[in-house]
Amino acid sequence: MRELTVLIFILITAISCNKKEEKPIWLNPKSVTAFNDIAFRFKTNTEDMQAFLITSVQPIILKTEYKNGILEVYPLNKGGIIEGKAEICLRNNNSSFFYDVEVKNNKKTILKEDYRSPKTLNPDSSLLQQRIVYHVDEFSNVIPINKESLFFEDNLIVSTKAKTYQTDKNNPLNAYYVQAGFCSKINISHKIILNKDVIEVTAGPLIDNFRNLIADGTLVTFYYKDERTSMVEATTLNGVVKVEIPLSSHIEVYAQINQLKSNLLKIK
Amino acid sequence: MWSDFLGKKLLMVAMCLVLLTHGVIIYFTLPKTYDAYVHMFFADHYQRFWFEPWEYRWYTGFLTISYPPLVHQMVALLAKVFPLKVAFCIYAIFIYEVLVIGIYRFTKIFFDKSIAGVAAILAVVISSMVETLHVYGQLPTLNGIAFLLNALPFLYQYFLKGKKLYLLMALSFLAVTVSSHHVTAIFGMVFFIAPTIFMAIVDGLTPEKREQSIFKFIGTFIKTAFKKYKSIILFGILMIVLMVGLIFPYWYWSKTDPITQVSIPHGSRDNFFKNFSSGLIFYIVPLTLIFSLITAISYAITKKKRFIAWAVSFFLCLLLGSGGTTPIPKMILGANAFNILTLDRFGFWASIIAIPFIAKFIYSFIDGPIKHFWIKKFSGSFHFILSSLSGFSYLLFILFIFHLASFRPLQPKEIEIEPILNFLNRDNHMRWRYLTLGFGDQMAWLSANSLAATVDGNYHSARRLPELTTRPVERLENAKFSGLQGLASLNDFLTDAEKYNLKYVFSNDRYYDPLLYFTGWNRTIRLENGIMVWEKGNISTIKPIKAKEISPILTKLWGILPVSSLMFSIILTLIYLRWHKENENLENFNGKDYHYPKYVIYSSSFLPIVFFTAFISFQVYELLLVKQQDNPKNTILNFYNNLDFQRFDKAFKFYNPNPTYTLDQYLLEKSVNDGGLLPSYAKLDSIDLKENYLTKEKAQLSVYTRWRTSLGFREKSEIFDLVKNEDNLWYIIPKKFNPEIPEEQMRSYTYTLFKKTGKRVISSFPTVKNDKVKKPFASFKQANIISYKQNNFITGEILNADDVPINIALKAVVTFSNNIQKEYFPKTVIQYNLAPKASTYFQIDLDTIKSKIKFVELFLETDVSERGYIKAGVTSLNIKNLGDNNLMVNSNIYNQITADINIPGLIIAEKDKDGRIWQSQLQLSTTAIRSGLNGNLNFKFKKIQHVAQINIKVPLNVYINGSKRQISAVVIDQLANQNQGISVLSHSFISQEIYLQ
Repeated sequence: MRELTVLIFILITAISCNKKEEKPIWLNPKSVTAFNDIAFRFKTNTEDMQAFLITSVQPIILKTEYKNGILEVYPLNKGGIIEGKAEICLRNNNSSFFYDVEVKNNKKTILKEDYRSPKTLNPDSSLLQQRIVYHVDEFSNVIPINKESLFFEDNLIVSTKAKTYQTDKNNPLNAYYVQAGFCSKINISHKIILNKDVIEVTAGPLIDNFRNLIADGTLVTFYYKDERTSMVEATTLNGVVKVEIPLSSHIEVYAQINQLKSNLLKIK
Repeated sequence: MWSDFLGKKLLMVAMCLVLLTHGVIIYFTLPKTYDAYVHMFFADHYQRFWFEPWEYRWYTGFLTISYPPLVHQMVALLAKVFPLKVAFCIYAIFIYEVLVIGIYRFTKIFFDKSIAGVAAILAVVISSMVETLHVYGQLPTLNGIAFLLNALPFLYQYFLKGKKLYLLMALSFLAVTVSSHHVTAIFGMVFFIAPTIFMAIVDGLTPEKREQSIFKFIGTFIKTAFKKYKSIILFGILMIVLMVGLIFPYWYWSKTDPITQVSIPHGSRDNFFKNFSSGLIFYIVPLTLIFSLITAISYAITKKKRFIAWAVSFFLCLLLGSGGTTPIPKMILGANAFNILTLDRFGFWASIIAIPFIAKFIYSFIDGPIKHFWIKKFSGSFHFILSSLSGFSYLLFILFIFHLASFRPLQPKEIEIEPILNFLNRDNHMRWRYLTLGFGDQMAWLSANSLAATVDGNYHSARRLPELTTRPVERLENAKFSGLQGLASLNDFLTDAEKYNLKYVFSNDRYYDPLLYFTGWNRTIRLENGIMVWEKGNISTIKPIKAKEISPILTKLWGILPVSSLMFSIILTLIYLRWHKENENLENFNGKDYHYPKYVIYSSSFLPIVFFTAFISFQVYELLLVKQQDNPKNTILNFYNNLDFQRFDKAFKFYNPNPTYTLDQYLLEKSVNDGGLLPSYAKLDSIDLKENYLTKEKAQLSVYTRWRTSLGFREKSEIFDLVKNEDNLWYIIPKKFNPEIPEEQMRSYTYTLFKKTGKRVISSFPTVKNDKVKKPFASFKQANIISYKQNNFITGEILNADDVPINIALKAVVTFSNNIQKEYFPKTVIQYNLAPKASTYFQIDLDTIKSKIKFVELFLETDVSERGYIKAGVTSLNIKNLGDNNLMVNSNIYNQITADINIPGLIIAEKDKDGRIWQSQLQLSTTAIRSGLNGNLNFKFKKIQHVAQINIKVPLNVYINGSKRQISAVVIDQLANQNQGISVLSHSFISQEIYLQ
């Protein structure tokens, strides 16, 4: 019984002990390489190695082939990546081995990015806008604008004309907007529509201090007084708003946007 | 031998019947039950996160260790192979089979195997169990009782024969009971286990001792029980160990996080005389068979001393099951337990105890002395007819229960959940919480199919949010059934949505539309299944909540022990059946005495026919034959009943038949008046009738109705003239209808609508900058802290200074002198959607004065909106001074748009001569204004500026989108000054979804 116990102990100990893995030898080391050109060879006795390229943003699985003690490693799919320092990682169940490498892309298409901040401006406040320009390739790697810097930055005073501006015709994402300011003056006029027994009161064209038509949907409240005080709310479209009020022998009308009032229209 | 064969044969028949009846129908009845979906939700939890007790999807997170897990875990295991609903059905049928076996074995400790076989058949069709499965969907209760009943014969034998094997077997089954339903295990100790021990001890006595007089017998029993104290203590200790050990996390949870919520009303606690429908569901339906055979049961259960404890248990259960009909159950249980427990379970247990005694009577009636009695007294045919009628009437009764949920709908119609799931899955909608309204228990089914979280939930014991636990509200989802408290609770969540990251409401009930609209919610999309999605702006995404930590050992035990208990009991049973089962393991202490006295025979033979026939007749009478128009009052009451449930064709039949007043005409007139708060968004709360006069042929009644709307109660009074026709029925004379018709034949109106196109990059990665829309500009035109009597409130005006329509969220944070901060919201007195350059008055009510206010901060968040800003109509104003600061605000609204204004309303502000706002109120009309027509609104308004104070000493800071801003200078409002200080804003609900077209 004692022999058996000793035997079992020795067996367990033997099973528990692991042979230390030897680091595979990189046969064709490169300090800088294009991602699509990766074809590294390693000398190793371990067949079931997995390989990864660990970049600054993500690990990428690499394909492996083992032949006659040589492990070949190359990308599963060709394409582009975020450039920069990376590591090749070889791993089996017990050990991981790392090799430094810098990866680049072969082909580069340079795209110009033009960011504006704020994207929406109002001439009633500030028209100062910050612009940042930089270049990127199709895989989002920032390309230096010149030898000294990655970005170009300046401040602009944008136009007072309300419209949607595009920094790049092909990229609506980079558009910025100048809105109309607050209405500077309300002019109202009227027209009696006899067949409907109503007075059509028109406010507009309503413009801001920079002669922009005020924003569509702006709420205009018309107050009119006959026997009672009444109010009609309507919203502008293309700087104009019209309401119909019942025809009455004597009526006084004015329009109001926030605290700005129009002229008082007396209709007899 | 023959008897033994018959018993087992009947058991097999019973088990086949379970498959044929329950097995076939269960898939279709489960969706209509109260609880099935809740248990499926728990099962889904275990399927996804077996060892994780924290469930984040309900109530902002709760622990699933708050309910014994066995049933849920077993369904979860089955759901690895089958769809969740099918898995639930399979397990339910498995449990019902175990239950039938349990009833068979349980009955064997009372009577012989033939009666046990009859009991097994009875278990298939007994109304209490049918109701528990097909109406309540209470699988854990059935699971608990099924294994408890299987444990009792072993326990009986242990105490009778003392063999430890029986104790082991009993404990293995009891372990399953504990793991599946702790309440059954706890009360089972009193109502099932104690009587079993009593019976075993009595059966262990010699026949002479059993026949002693009652006092001597009690003495002998006590002596014998003391002799068995070791067995009793051993069992007791092991039972406590099982009870505590198996579901220790549950006890840990209930100790560390005790239930301290306001009791939620339950029909089983009602006085069944006052609330007959509760009595019907919770007492009459499950116990009709018991009541009809009560003489036979009482006779048999009190006949022998061995049944004494069972008799006590049975009658006590029957009494406790009667709920609040008498004060006795509350006295026995204590107010606390009475208000927490659902008492229908006691009735259920009473029916289980009664099964052996009912089976005995049925056996005697079909093939025993009672049969011979009837044959001898009349003839074989008479007995045949009597048995057939009893059986047939009971069959009809059971069919009724199977379809009870169809006759008396417990749930809204089935909702297709796929469109909701698709909505939640797209555009990161899952990053916010949602709320369902009008879904019934199907909300649990939606939760089980989605990883999105809701603020609501369907397991109220686990609720810990004070907003839920301080009110007797079962779910927010069905708040309208919980009266004012329910709606107040819902109002809190809808107003303070940011606190719970609640952004979406899925509404299946337009009753809630007015409340949603006036608390700042916007309709976004109507899904393919007809569910309207409401959305609130300015809500931030869910922040990670730290789950309540439970020791990893406990979570592992919770995941392993309960299922192991079931596996262990199955393995032990197999071992027992293979190697240890004794052929005649139960002695029959009952003999073959199937005789009953005549009064029992007469009553128990006829009562079932009377009871079941009466029950079915009552249902048929209620459905078809009730005289709804036998007097003027009944006519009006039934007319309103039909109106309340939108049965307009039936309501029309209460009008006096007239060739010129057709159903078509009635519906046309109705459509003209429909759409307002009362006709379309209210439930009748109470009705009071006053007879103005009554002759033989004519009557006039004044009808006062009180309607429950989501915005509070509204009252209405009407006068009805009635006439009695030749058919002796009373009819309502239709009122003369004066239609208001717009002058124009075709109306036009120009809307300026917006569409937020967004710039979402088509990528599953959230874009950083390009799809962001800037926060719109807004400003405070004024803000004032007002003290009026004991009330404090903040009033003011907010302007949308931007060029786009916006949605605003306003919050007041008040810091009191004791440095306690409290948040307040404007609720309904504000317009949440503003067109460009539009402004709104607001009022935020604070608590009554308790401590001094140190300072106030107002936080305004703005968001681009494209919906809800359209106002409608020309509003004319005329103010009458009624004296003593009372005004009559008369407003005429002309609807100039192309849709009806369903709930016309005004925000009325009281201003002083300088333009400062002293108070704001929302006033709503109960009737709609059709397109092109005028509507008159009259509201009494009391001015307060002469007695109230503006608190200018308290610092008030305002923040807009996180930045500190200045409040504009107050401007004199000349128009308000001309109108006695009153300024109004139109604020109406338009149900037509103009924005969605």
